[in-house]
Amino acid sequence: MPQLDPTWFVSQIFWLIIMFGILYILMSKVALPPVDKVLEDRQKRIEDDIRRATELKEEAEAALKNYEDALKGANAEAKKIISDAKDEMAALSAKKDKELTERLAHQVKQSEEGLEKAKAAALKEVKKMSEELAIAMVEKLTGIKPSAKDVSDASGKVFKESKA
Amino acid sequence: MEQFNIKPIIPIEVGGFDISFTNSALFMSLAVVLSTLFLVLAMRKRSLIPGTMQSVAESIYEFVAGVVKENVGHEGKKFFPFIFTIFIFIAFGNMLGLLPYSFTFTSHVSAVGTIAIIALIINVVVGIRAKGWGWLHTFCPAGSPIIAVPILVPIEMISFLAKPFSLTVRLSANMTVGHVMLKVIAGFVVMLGLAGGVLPLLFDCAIVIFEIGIGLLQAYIFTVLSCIYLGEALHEH
Repeated sequence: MPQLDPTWFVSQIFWLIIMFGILYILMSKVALPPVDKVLEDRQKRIEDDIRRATELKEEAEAALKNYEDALKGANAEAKKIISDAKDEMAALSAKKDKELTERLAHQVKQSEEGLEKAKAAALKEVKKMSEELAIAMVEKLTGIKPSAKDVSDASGKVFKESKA
Repeated sequence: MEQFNIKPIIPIEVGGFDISFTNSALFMSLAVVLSTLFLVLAMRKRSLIPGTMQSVAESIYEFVAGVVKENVGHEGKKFFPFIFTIFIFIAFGNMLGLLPYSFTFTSHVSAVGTIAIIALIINVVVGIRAKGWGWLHTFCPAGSPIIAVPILVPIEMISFLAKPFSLTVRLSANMTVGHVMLKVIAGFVVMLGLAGGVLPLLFDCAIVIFEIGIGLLQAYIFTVLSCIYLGEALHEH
């Protein structure tokens, strides 16, 4: 087997050491540093990107929280405005109600008063007419004209009784 | 076995030693040039998003870096170029050897043995640097009983020296067997001619694919074992 033939051992060992040495120098000085740099750069870039993504996510979460807070505040405000408006409306309607009731009561009272007055006036008129009638009747029947005061007293008694 | 023969291309003799530039040395230099060219060309764009070639180069880099990190740990970072050189050199040697009319220098014990011994020397240097005199515990683990020492020390020494030996034999035997098989079956193709040769030809094609796998796998095994030995040299058992 030529693999075990010692004839070329020295040459093999010599050239192998030379070539291995050259390759080692080429690898460590020329070929590997760029690979290392590229991989490192990529790693750095990825880490940067991840960090930035995390930051952006946090920002977005903060913004969302702000928005939700604002929304909550706006909701509360809207509710408050609605309830205020309701209260106002209720107060207003109560006031109007009261005013109307008062006015109606006043009107009723006024018309009752007018009615009373009219009734009194009518009664007075009736009394006066009946007194005149009574005077005229008595005068015609008896020829004596009764004094207005007597008639008035008598009619007053009758009206009082009828009133009672 | 003719395919494994070493032929001198440029005869050189220094001080009685024949150090001729042989076909083996030629393929070693090819491996050096091609692996360097491959990595440099693949990485020339250095883009953030890698293309096909750059992905391949990066994958090899990360693969070897993973092996080093796993077996040596974080101190392994400074040995990474060395381990990477072993991996790429053997891998390219194995791959080049699969080309027709090429020469597989990784099938030669003298070549592979030299790599293994370089790795061994580095392990020893690293071990002595890391542990000082404590490195001698490699041959006599701390806490072993005095009576066992005369037996233990030779055994440990043998196992220590067996490491490069096993690395060498594993790789060169694998490469030799694979290429012998390719050659034998290729011989059948010639013998059976056009009609009958199709079957062994297909079989040979399958074996080539298989051999590519074995070539990469053996490069990986050599690398992993080098890393493990380096890790042992650096850390306590």
